[in-house]
Amino acid sequence: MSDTPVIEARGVGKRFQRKVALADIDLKIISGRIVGLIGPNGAGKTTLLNRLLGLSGGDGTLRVLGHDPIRERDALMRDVCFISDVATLPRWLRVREAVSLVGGLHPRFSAERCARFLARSSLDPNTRVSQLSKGMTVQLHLALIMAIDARLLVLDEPTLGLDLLFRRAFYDNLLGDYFDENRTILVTTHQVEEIENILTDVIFLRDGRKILDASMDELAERFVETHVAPGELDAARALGPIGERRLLGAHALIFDREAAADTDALATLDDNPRTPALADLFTACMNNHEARA
Amino acid sequence: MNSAWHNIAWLLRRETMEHRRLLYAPAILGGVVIGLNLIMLAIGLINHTHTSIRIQFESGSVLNALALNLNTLDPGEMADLGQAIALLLLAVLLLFLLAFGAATLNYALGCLFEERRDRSILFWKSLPTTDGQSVAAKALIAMLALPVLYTVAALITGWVTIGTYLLLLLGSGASAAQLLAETHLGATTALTLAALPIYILTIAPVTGWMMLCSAVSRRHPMLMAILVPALFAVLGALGLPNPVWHLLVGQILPTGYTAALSSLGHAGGFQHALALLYRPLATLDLWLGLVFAVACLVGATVYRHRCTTLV
Repeated sequence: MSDTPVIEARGVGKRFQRKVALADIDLKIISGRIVGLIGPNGAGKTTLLNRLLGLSGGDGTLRVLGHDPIRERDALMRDVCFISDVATLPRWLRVREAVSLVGGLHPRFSAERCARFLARSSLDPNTRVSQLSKGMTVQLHLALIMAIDARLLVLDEPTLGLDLLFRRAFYDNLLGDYFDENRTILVTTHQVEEIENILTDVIFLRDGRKILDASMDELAERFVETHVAPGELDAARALGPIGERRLLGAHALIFDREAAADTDALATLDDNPRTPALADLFTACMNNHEARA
Repeated sequence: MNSAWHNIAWLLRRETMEHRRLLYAPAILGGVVIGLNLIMLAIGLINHTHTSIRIQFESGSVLNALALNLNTLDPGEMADLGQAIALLLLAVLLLFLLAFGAATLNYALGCLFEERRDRSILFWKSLPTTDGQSVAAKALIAMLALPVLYTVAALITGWVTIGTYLLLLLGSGASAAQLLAETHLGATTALTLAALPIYILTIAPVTGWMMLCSAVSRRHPMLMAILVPALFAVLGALGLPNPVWHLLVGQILPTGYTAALSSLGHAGGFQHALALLYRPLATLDLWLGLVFAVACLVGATVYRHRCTTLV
């Protein structure tokens, strides 16, 4: 079962009238991964997720858990859960009604698990969603979703607009109570720093195209951040960094070992080279892509 | 995997939770009518103790006309009273028809639009149900549950109201059987129930059209629902064929029912009225309308499948 890729996409694209929103995306995501789909606004993240979830059609071939997301959407949704944006729970819904409806409509929902998650929050079963704060609504939605025994969980900006405490709790719960090797989580967010430690893979999107697709281990192998003094800056720049930023009294340069001309020279620049933070790598990749474009 | 009917049953439960007020409304309306009527009656009876015993059919509403003392009735007055009571039932039916129209308009135009506007459609689409099942549940509410609920509520309200007068009449020694026979109350009730399936079929195209507008419209489903038929009405006025009038607008008012009602007192009686009521079954318009209604629902399903949110 785990041999079948959770997501397999070839040449997936989507255009809105004349604008290309997504072009030629190839993806292969296997079970037991937490994949971050990261890109600036308008990069096509939500468009890609909508295609994966069968919410919209387009070019290319796409299989999610072996299903065609459009034609076999009903079957797909038994194994896939998603939270698209915060606050998509209907405002008229009461907490207990939400539990009862999802229980009735989803064959893999466990009311017992849901009750356990809800017991940890201070949600009153009779409260309507419209009376809940944004953070509470997300807690409810997450409790509903985590009580479903699904193989793929898709989260599109699940913590947008939440305060730091809620965001932390959200990912703690997800990691502690939900994720295991049989499940896959695909998440998009702008708060890259916060999910950096839980991701196993990242995909960078820009202008509808995939510009990076690697595991976190591969990233650590491939990219390196060196800190150089201003005097050595020109020599370092000559090695072709993909990104650069100022530090206090120094410059941080990020290099792609695969693209850098001289890896030995790179090693001499900094005695203590480090793996770049995901946010820094993201910025570097985006700017570098822009420069090349 | 859940069966389609299992899902539709749960989606119906969703609709009843979401539109609780529309479903409670007939009960509330009925309660208000019965309550008001009792108050009128009480006022009539109290007022009477200070004046001479006489039936006073005052100008004004039917309810007002019935607020009278019923101790001594001569045959002529009985007939008057019979008419008033028959009118009372019709007035209650009309009131509920208006309420039903408002409820259907509200529900059919909003049911597929609101979930797109507040993006909650994304939540519903994260559950393993098909768009066809969702649209089917909504169509069952709009096309079946609402007309049945409002009709039954109207009849119950009408009969409870009439019952209060009948009780008083019986107390005063009048013959309730005679009164019922004269007023055709039983026949009107039977006719109303018999008209229900036909009415459900004849208004299906309008409801389907409104649901399609609800699924398709980007901003104002009501405007779309009115403007398109209005355009056809203009074409009709210009002498061009105007099928929309026959299929949609002409069906909204239960004209067949009123024709059947008014024929009750004439020759042929109930059988004739029933035949009149079921006459649309033999017309092409009704069946074309049903095809149109199904097409609208299929269109709404396809749209719900393709387009998710408004933003």
